[in-house]
Amino acid sequence: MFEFISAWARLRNTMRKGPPPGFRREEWAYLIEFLSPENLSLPFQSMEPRYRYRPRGLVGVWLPNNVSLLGPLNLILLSLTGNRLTFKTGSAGGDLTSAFLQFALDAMEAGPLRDWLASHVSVATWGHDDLRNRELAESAQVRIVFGSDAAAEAVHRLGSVSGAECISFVDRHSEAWLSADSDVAELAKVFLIYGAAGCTSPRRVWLIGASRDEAIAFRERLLRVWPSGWEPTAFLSHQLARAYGWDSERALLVGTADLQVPPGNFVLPILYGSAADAVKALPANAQTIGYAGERPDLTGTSVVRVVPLARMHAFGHIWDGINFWLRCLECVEVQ
Amino acid sequence: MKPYAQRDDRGFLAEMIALTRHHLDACPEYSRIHPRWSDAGSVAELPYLHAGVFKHIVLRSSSEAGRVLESSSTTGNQPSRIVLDRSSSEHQQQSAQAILEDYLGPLRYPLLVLDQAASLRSRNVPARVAAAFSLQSLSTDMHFVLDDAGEIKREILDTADEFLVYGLTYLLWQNWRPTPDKRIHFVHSGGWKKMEALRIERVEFEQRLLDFSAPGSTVLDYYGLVEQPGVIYPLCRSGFRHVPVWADVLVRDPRSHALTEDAGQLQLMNTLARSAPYHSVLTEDVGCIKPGYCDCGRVGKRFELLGRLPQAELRGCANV
Repeated sequence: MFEFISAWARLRNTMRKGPPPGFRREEWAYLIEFLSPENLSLPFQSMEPRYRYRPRGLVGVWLPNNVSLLGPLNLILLSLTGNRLTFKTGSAGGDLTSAFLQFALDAMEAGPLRDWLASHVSVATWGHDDLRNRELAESAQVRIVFGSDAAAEAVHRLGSVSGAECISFVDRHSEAWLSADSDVAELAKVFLIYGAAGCTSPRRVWLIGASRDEAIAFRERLLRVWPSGWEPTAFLSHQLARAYGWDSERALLVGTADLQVPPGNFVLPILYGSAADAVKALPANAQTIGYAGERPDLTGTSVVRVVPLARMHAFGHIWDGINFWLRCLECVEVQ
Repeated sequence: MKPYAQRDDRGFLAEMIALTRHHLDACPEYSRIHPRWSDAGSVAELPYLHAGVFKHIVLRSSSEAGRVLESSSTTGNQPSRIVLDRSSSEHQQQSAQAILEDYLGPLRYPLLVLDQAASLRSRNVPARVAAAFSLQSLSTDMHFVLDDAGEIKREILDTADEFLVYGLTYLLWQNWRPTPDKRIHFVHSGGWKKMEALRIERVEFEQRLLDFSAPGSTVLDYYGLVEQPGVIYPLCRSGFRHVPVWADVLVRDPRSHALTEDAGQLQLMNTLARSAPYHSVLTEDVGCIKPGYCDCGRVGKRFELLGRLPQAELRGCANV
C-alpha cells in the first residue's frame, strides 16, 4: 500500500499542469493537496498492531448526483484498502469519478497502482430501478451510500451478503460559529465552493456573543467580499427571506433561529447570540461546526466534527464519526 | 378595448406607481420585500417580484376572499397561486378576450376544451381552466371534451363543421386525432417542457395539427403565466409576441438585473393586478425586445421568446 501512496503522490507532478475538462481549478487543487503522502498515511494510523487487516472483497459506493469530488476522493482513499471497488454514480450531472479514473490511467506511470486501477475499479451509471442496484448490493461485502436518507434506506433494503458492512452518509447540517470580528474572506471562500449543497457547507453562521447590530455590520463586511450579481436562485431566496421576516441583503440574512429559511443554495442566514443559544438550536443531524478563534465545547451534542472554518470541507477516512475506511478491512487478531 | 396601439407611457407609469403603492399598503409580505421603495421615474425603477414567490406564499392585497388561480404544470413541485378578487377576475377575462379576439377575429364557433369537466370542481382554479374560460365569449358554446379515461368524446365533433379548440400543447399533441372534414382553430399554451423532452419542435407540432384538419384551419400559440393572469402573448404570423397597452415587458441581465438590449430575463408588467402584487413579475423566461415595425401590422412593443433560464448546476456532496 505504501507503493500506492507513493504512486498517487507522483501523479501530482502531472496534475500540476492543470485540470482535465469537468474539474474546476479549486477542486483540482484540493485533489493535489489530498494526494500528499502525509494525508494518505493518516488512515493507517488508526490500525492496531495486534491485528492483521485484509480486504473484505468488493466495496460498492453509491454516489448521488452532482457530487463533485466525493467520487475521486473515495477512489483514492479506498484504493489503499486493496478491495475491488464499484462506484455507482448519479444518473444526472457530471461524473468526476470516471473523469479522474481515466486521467489517472492515462497519466500514471506503469506500476502496481495503475494495474490495480485498471483491474479492480469500475464506475457505472444507472437509475434507481436498474437491476444492477440489487446485483451490487447483493455482492458487495461493504456498501457505502452517499445521498438522501431515502436513497440510503432503499439501497440497504436490497439483499446483502451475510455480514456485510452497510455505511450511510446522509442528510447532514453544518454551521460556522464565528465572532462579530471574524475574517469574512475565509467564510466566503468556504461557503461559495458549494453554497449550501454540501454536507460540510455552513448552512448558517452563528456569531457567538454578538448583538443584532454587530451581525448587520458583519454582513456588510461579508457583502464587500461577496461576488457581485445574482446567482440564479439567490434573488428568489432574498425576496422570500424578506417576506418571512429576515433582514436580507443579496440573500445574506440576519435574524433569529425561529424564522423560516427560504429555499435556495446560495442563501446564508447569520444568527447572533450566546454559545448556549447556538447549542440549543443545533438540529439532530448536525455534523460539522467550523469555528474561528476559540474552539467551542460541543461535548454532549450530536456534532461529530469540530474543525477550523478553513477545514470544513476537508474529507478524510473518518466521516460523520465513522472510520469507514477501516470498516472496509477485516481484522484478524494475531497473538 | 383595442390591445395593440401606441401607449400613453406616462399614464401607464402613473397607474403602475399607484398599483405599487396600493400593494405596499395592503400586502404585508410585499412591503417587507420592498421596504425602501417610494417612487419611480420610469418603469425600470418599479419594484418587481420573482415569479417563484407565488409558489411559496399566497399574497393578498384585497380583503375580499376571491378565488385562487393555481398553475397546472410548473418547474418544481409547488404550483403558483394567485388570488383574484371579483374586479381582477373581470379584468383578467376582458384582457384575455380582447387579445385573443385580435388574433382569432370576430367569428364564433363551438369551443372544445381538451380537459375534463372534473377540473371545474377543483378547490383552486387550475390556470388552464381559467385560460379556457377566456375563450368562452369568443365561442357559441363550450364543452370539456376529455372523458374520465382522458379520451376525446368524439360525438361532439358531429355537431358542427368548424370549431375552436383549446388545450395545453402536449395534450393536443398526445390526444388530438385526425378530423379531416372539420376546420379547426387551435389555441394552445404551456406544456413545452414535455414537448422538448419528446424532441418535438413547434413547426412539427403545428404541421401535424394542420394535417389532421380541413384546409383553412389555424394554430395559435400563446405565452402566458399564471402570475400574469389574463395578459397573454400570442405568437403573431411574423414570429413575435406583442405587448398590449395595459402591459409592458422589460428584459434584464440575469446577473446584474440591469436592463439590456440583448437577450435576457423577462420582466412582465400589467395594470390589472389589484388583488395581489402580480403587477410586476420577474420570470424565469428568456427573451429580447424587437424594436421596429412588425409585418403583422400590430403596433407597440414586441418581443421574441427564446426559452428558459438555464438552471445552475449544483456541486455538493451528500445532501444533493
